[in-house]
Amino acid sequence: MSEIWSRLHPGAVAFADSDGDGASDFLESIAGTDPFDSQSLLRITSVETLRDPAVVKFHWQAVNGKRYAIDGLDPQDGGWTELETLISTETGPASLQLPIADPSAIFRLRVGDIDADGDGLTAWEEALLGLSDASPASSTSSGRPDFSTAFRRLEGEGDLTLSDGRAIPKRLPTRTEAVRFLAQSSFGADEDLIVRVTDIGIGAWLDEQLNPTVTTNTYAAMTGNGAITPSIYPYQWSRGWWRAAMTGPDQVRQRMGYALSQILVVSCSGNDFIRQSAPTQAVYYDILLSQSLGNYRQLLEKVSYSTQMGFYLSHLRNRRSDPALNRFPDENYAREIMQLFTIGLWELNPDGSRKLDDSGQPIPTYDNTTIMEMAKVFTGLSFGGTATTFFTPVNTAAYLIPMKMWDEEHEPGEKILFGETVIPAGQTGAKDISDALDILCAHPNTAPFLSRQLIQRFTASHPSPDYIRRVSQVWENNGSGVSGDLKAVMEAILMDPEARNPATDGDIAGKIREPYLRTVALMRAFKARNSRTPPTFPVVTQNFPTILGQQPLWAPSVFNFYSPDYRPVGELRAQGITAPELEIATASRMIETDNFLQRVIDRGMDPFTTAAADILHLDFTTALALSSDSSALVDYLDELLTWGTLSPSTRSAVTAAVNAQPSPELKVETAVHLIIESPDFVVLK
Amino acid sequence: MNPSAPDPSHRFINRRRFLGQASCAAVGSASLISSLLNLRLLGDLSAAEAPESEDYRALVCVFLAGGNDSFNMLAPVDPTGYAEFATARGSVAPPLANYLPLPGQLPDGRSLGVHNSMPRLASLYTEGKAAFVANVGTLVEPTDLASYSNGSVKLPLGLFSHSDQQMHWQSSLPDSPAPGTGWAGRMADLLDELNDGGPVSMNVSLGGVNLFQCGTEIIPFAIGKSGAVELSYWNSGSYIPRRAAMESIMDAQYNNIFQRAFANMKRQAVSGNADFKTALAAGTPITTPFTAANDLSAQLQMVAKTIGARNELGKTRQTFFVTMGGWDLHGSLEANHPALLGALNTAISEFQDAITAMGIDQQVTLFSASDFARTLSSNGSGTDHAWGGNQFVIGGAVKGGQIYGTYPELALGSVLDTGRGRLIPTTSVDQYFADLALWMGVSPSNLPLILPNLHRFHDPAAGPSLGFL
Repeated sequence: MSEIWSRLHPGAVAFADSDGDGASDFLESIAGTDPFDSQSLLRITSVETLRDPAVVKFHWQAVNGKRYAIDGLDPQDGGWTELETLISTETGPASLQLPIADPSAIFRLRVGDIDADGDGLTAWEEALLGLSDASPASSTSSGRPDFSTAFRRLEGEGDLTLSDGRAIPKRLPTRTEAVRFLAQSSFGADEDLIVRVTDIGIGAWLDEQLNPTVTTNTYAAMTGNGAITPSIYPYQWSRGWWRAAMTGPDQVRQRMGYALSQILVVSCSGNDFIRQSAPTQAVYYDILLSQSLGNYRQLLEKVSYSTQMGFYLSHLRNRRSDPALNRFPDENYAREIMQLFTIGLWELNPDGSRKLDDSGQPIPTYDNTTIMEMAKVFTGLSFGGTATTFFTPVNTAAYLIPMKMWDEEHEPGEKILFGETVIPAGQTGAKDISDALDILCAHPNTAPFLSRQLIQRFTASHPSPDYIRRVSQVWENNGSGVSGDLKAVMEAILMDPEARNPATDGDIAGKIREPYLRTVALMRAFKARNSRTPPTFPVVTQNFPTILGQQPLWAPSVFNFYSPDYRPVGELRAQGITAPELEIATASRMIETDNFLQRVIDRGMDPFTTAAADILHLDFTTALALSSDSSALVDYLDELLTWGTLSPSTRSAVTAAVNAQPSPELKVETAVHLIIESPDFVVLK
Repeated sequence: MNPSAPDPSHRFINRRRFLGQASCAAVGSASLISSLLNLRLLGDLSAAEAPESEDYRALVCVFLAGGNDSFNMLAPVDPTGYAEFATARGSVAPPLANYLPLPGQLPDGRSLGVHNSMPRLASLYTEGKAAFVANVGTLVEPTDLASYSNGSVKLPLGLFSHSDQQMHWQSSLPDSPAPGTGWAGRMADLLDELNDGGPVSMNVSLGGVNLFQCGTEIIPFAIGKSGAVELSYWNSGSYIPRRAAMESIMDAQYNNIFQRAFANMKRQAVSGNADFKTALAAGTPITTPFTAANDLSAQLQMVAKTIGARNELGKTRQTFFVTMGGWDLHGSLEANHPALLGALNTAISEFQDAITAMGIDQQVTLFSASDFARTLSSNGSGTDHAWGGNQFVIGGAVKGGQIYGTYPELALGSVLDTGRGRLIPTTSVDQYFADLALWMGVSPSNLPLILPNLHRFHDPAAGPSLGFL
């Protein structure tokens, strides 16, 4: 049932007929009529027959935005055929007429909803909200997708007056709705965030988050986090990351930065320059953070010039070709910026599906000639700062600033991309790069290719084509004609019907939460802190990639921790459903993750050093106070950790285990551990 | 088809049902696996015509992720051959003195050497326990420069891309955009009948979940270098309530497909690890040394331990997947490639010692695979993605001391050069894998089930294609 209809008619019960007019409340919700007014229902009010030409005309009271159809019955096979349709644009008398062919015939009038613009709102809802079903972003004032506009209008205190003059109550999110939303959009719900979201609403909180007044950067979080000199300990950047994630107010911005770090991959794994310098890691990640609610085109430029990416994909000191030496430009960055950072390997439809040629084969987006041409574009970059030539040796300070274009090592001549798009000869290297980035960002693949992967990071392991299309539309145009606006994309991902309506996609809804983020969510839910003043976050174990399969900036290769296309053997593969996060769920890691989380819950997060004062302890004060009542304890944890969706079987298993434990501490630790490792927590749906 | 993991107590029933369903599915479906299985039913109902079950055999795939520059690993060392090599490779050509010459000559008169960071590989070759397969790579059909250039042949999808070429090497289906199974997985679907069952798969991975070992029914058991792990609360008295609760959580029914998948996977992880731990504790201990700091050595040590527990695990057929990264040397090739080759040499050397000490070097064959070789020409300090390359096969059963396939001409602009020294393979991965599969006990008539494209390069009924086993 439509949320708006339910709020218009509080007390309606789907399978009751509250007004006794013969139409159940559920049917009235489809017709958009009043379930408490026996005069308000869909019925044919009169039938006229006319001659010259011979027609039969049906009259009824229509509701604005509903779709009506006259069906005719075939008496031979009992099947109905749709004969005439009407999409009502006002509430009031309506009619449809049909030519009469036979002396007797049976017709019916049928009503339903349409969503012509595919924005997740029906035409009936859009009409009541003053929006249009002709465009998914019809509100000129908000500049947002209509679903997001509608969601925000329904949220708050007091009433919302609809376009027909009726009023419905607004409401604020419940605590469980807040926890679920925070699991999608932040590093995890804690009591402060839950209170804030339930106080001001999901939409208003998202507005705060999309325009943060305080922005975290991991470099400052790292260096301000104790007296350790970061360059000495390559793993120290993790302290900054954890401090930012645990205490930074800009949660959505940080989640997007983290998501981008899994697309624009730079890794400590296999790269000594990056692994051995914590500041280098911080500088790169902070580039992602700085643009995570900015524009992808600008971010891509910063990444392309970043020394870290230059190290990682080897276009740092990439030289122009020298045919005499059989030396050609390095193709590494050229290849991956296309395959992974922008357009992907195969031409895509706006809904992320692959285009197929006449023989049913996918169509490559580029060939190797384009790679070689693109490789020429990314020549001439070397260290900046104090360097005086392309080859000047530098100290590590130069690792922390962008690369510089040295035009004498940039490949001259034109570069022809995709066999047709020409970057002209005679330009500077910087202009060549700028042109190439423009071309890639304007490619029709970029929006669906990246939209799908970002959706997978936040809300859905296997987003529907419609979901991808809706987000992709916003990527193409943020409402003001700008493409690649990540703030608008973030909003589109979180404020999509598939993300906000839990049941939209049945049993393939939701996502497997990343093991690393499950760990962070646990730590945040119980405000894990150590005994130092102010608290520090020395989470610098080197074992996360082994135990969890993940750690920020530790992907095994530029292909990230897992593939967006990964389909585990079994039911998921048979049905063609992607679940990227299960690619790292090996038999050993599933056990090691469980053991690790158990240790964190029972004893706290072990730091790299063994000082007791460094150990981050979870604060179970509230839970301990409830421990004598297992039902109350599980209710509390269900709300905080699984947004009130703990399955009956998990609940009874947890309750039995809690009841079998002797001490309050063991009861709480047992309950938290079992819930954290249950499919109810692992899958965010 | 119901691909959920088999309950070991019902495995034969499951297998029959599985085959029955597959042949039914083939009636209405053109999906690859169902038509393959249909072929199996028509072609050879007595599939288990494999060797005696006590004749243990294991295949170890060493996957060099990122694309080994294998023309620096195995290079011409005669004056003419080396000069051609050095000209093409420019600044990334190692000096001639860095090669250990191999005995014998190629038919064209050239002689080859192995990079001197791999002395054990060279000595295994000389002892007749190692061979090379030259210029092997992914091909959809026989391809030459003319058909490549004019587009008259189908080419591997996503040619020169890491992710795609790894997928093709592991599936041997380079014309499939999303192969669901790997060739060792399909092989295991056939050969697992020779094993005794149990929760631990015959396909064991130290390199994580991988396509290579995924079949329709068999999936890899992916473990870490330290071997079996168990839940710390599983066998501890005070934690018994937690264990009981976790078991009922894993065994519960879930409506959401992701919840179901997670619960099933965790259940399998727990029971597989428990079985694995018991088996390893009772298996033959490994006494020869492995270098703990060498990641590949540590992986291969766990492979050796698992092989040592083959009887306890009830396996007469096993495959193993180990990986080594770092090969994508677009830069610093000169500095880093010899070190990688050296670490690879150490690991395979230690593994060979362990297997020989167990007295089963005739029954274990190790082979290398990699995304691709690299451009012969340099980009200044490294090399870029290419196509055909050189691989090695090691084991007592190998007819070693020989180069199989055709070692290519290395001049830029040769008849195989698609540009920059990206060489068209002259041997397909299907041919390479066919010999390995036959040695594992797959009958010639079943080969097309595992390698459906093989017939384009070699008549499967004719037996081995290259003859190195």
